[in-house]
Amino acid sequence: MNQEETILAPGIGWTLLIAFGIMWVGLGLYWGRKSKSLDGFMLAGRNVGIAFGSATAMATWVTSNTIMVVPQFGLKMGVWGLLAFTTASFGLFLFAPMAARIRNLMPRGFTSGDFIRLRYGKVAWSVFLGISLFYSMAWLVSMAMAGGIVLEALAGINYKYGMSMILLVCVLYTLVGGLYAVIGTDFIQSVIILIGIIAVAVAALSRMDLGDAYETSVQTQPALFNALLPVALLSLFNNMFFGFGEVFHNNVWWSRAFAIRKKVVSKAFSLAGLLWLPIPLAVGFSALFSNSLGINITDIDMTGPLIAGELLGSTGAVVLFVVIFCSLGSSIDSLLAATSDLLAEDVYKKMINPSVSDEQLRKISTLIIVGLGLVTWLICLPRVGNLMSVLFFAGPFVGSAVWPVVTGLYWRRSNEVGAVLSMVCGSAIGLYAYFEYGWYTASLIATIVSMVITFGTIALSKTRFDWSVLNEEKL
Amino acid sequence: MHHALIRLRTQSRTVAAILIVITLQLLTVDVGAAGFQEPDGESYQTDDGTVPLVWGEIGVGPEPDRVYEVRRWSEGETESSLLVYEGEDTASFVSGLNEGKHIFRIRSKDRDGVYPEWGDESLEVTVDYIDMAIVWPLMGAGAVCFIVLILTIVLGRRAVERKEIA
Repeated sequence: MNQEETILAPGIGWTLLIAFGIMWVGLGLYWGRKSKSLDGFMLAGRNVGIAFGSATAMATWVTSNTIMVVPQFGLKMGVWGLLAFTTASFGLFLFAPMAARIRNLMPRGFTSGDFIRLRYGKVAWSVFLGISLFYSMAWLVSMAMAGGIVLEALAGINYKYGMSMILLVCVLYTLVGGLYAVIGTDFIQSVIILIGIIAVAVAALSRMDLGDAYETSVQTQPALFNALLPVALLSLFNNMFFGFGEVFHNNVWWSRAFAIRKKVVSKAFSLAGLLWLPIPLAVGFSALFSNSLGINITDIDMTGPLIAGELLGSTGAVVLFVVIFCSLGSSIDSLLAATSDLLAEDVYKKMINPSVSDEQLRKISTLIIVGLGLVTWLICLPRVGNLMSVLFFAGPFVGSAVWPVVTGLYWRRSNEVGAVLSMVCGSAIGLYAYFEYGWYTASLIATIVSMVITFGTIALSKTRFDWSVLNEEKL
Repeated sequence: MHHALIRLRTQSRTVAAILIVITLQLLTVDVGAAGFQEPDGESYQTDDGTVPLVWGEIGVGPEPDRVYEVRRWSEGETESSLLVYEGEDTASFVSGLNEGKHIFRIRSKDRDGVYPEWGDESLEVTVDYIDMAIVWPLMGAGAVCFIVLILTIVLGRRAVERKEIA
């Protein structure tokens, strides 16, 4: 499509990639010295403070999707699209009180799978594991793909090489440092991300005459400023419930709930939500004005990099490159660590070898990290679909898990039949909506269906769950 | 034998006629004229007001340094057209289209750097947004779901705190 030449020379791109790669792996080795026990490797000793806790939650949530998909939301759905993406921060706000409850109920818990197994039994646990693993893979794939795409767009680095390099670096430092390394690097990455995004937004604003840009865009892309744009209105709720589903069910967030000190866990998630809230607006607002800026978007996946490169030139491109590399690193490492915990603890230990020692389980965990990296790499090689389609396909699955998790934490009458039916029916109907109406209805419909079924079965239930069952160590 | 020869002659004439028609058609194709390659066909329907356009030269491979002009005529605005893109790229992601019909046309500068008159090559894009009769109930249900979720967490937390105090 002979898009403009790349903004950075490939040499600069490779230099940045290798320099940051060495830094992350070095820091991984440094922090990894602490992770001698299984608790240390998987949950950073369960003693993470508020600064590192909120930074890791914020950095993990600033994914490549935030940097890459937000501009797409702006370009496709306008103002409402950007606001729809900011609703993802609500997931962190609502998870804050839930995290405190999780720490109270499961002081020695390891994974979100543990909770579902103890709370609802093995059938619900199997369904939940299937959903969680599928979503985790979709998230990993969308991020690794985003890495390859952005490196190619910004610096002309071949998609396959860029994607492979990012995965390799993340696998290496997660492998050597466990959650200590993940949280430590997340802290540095969150600082870089915040400074970088503010710099990019300020530079973009200083180069744009917002009044002129608005008038041109209203004339050429009127629907982007339409207050009743149907797709965008639906995506507002759809994205919010997708975000709830992602945060409430996924072990990335549960592992942080177990890792952060009990006293500050709630504050850490609230602070993370607050820090995250303005990021989509800062990243994506310029996409509303791509036409008025004379930027031709040839490929929707390249919206963000193309606009940033055009507006800010090579300096801006370096900043964006570093921000995206940090956001990719902070999310891929978290996902690798949390998913390997889920597979090691829930699948290997609980299903295959219950008598496995902590030392052996740690080895299994490292093998799983390598395996996950390899599978992700193989899936990403052919560059299937665009980022939004890869990501939102997982929407109905995670949306359907919202209610079993929430009611399972607070209502004793919530039960296994309801949990299983709500996840299965919610996913199935949500998936039907995905194909019949579009991705912007899938998570919304899945969550609504899941709510109706959960409440229906709670109303009919005579179950009174004993909360002490969740404290496995006590049992 | 005689019948076989007649049949052979008839078939030969038919084949010759087909070949002549094909040759004539090939000669009349506007080789080198710009046209849309994606979306396929002459019309396209979208429910989100976006259309990914890809274009090129008909009958020849990609030509370097070719300058294209893509314009849009929208329903109700037949008097004037809007410039979608002008330059050497061969694709553009168009978004923010209002509901209704939009005609996209393309042309490329000839070797003297002059645009020819607009040809027949066009793409009709119909934007048909999802019906608001579906949108409002879904949004209402979403709002109820959101409020119930917040109440479940807030009231659940309060109940837990009350029990802990008791």
